[in-house]
Amino acid sequence: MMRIKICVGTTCHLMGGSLLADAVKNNRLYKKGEIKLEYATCFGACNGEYLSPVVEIDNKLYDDMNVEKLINLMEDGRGDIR
Amino acid sequence: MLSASVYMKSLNHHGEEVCGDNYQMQKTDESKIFVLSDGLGSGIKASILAILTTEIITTMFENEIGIEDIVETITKTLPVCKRRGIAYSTFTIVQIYKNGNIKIVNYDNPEVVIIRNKSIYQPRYQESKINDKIIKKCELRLEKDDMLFMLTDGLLHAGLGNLMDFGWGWESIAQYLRQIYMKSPDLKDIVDNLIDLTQIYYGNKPGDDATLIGIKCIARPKVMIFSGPPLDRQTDRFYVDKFLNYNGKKVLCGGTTGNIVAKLSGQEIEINLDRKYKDLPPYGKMKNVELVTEGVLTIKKLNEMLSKCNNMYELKLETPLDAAEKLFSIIRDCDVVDMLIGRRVNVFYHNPALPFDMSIRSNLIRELSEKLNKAGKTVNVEYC
Repeated sequence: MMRIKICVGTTCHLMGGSLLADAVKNNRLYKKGEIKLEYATCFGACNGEYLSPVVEIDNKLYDDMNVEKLINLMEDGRGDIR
Repeated sequence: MLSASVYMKSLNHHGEEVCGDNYQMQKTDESKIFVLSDGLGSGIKASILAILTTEIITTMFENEIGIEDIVETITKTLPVCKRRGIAYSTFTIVQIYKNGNIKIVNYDNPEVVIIRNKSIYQPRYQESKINDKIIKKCELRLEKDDMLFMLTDGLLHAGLGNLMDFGWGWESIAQYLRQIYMKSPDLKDIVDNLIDLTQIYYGNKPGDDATLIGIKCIARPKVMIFSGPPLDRQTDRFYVDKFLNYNGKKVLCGGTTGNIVAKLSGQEIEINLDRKYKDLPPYGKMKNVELVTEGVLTIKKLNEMLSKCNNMYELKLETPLDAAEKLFSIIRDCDVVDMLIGRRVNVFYHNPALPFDMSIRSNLIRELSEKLNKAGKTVNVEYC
């Protein structure tokens, strides 16, 4: 099972975190129970090295996320993996 | 420790610009006193008399003069109408001590309605004659979640000669208050509901000034808000311990602050997925911490909400609550707001791609403490 943690900190939220949460909740794999979604407080990552919004998938951080990248990652892992 | 929050609403006599009932509240270190006065008649004359009465009572109380002496002074001072032979204004005094004792003194107003354990509680009053005026007094112990309602006779007479022969009456009002309480124990809902119904019974033309004051007794009326990481990382442990050992409700505002507290206390922050997540990020909780929210956006919205009201009960909160609304409702029930504000600069806010310039935390906190002071809260801010 894929485990996705979406940061709900200030900057990630302002940069579109809620859209990412909606994207996961509307995804067929989430609805089938193959993805576990969690909200997380700040990962402390977006200090220049990473760009918000940041998402953690299976204990690995992915930055500068958008809905398209996240869907790709959920479907077949084709995101810009850092 | 027990304390009380209060919400009131009045109806003016039809055609009058001012209300002939007046209410004042006064705080001291040991107790709070609520005074409701009903001036004889209506309009300006009644209003001035009622204000005079509440003002004398609260001023004397502020100068630590006992309730008995206050009553004696008032009864000696109140002028008696030459034509009608009765005192110009009636009054009810409710004094609530922090240790849970309560004193009620009533002169010619309807008795205070007390709702305890979902039923009407009627204390035994002692009558005494001070300067030919019969004063009813009682003392009792308060219990958590007790609700008290102070009322003027304008409520009792609603419907008189219109929908009903003799008006609504104390019994019916007390039972109705209990019924609304059973549906929603929200103070504002109860007071608004009864006043709206009174207005209807009067056919939208109140024949007397009518006032209802709801008082809700709450335990632990203190809250500590910890927002922002401490300037010196080495003091993290000290401030986290201070926060966790606080004797009252605890709220964490800020992701980084939340992480520090979670890490040092070995607890996890749980953020419910079902929470409302639109304008503000969702909120969560932690063991021994009532609320964990995002920081500056939540405080910014809280300030906006406080700008919209004088009394925090004026604002109607629609469920589901977002983080700022939840924080608002917690603060609303508290008397004292202690804030622990970290001064470490948040490097994450230096992102030029952010959609707007975020106010620095200290500005928001300054604004928040001014607004909370205005709302009658005691605010203590400690920067760390």
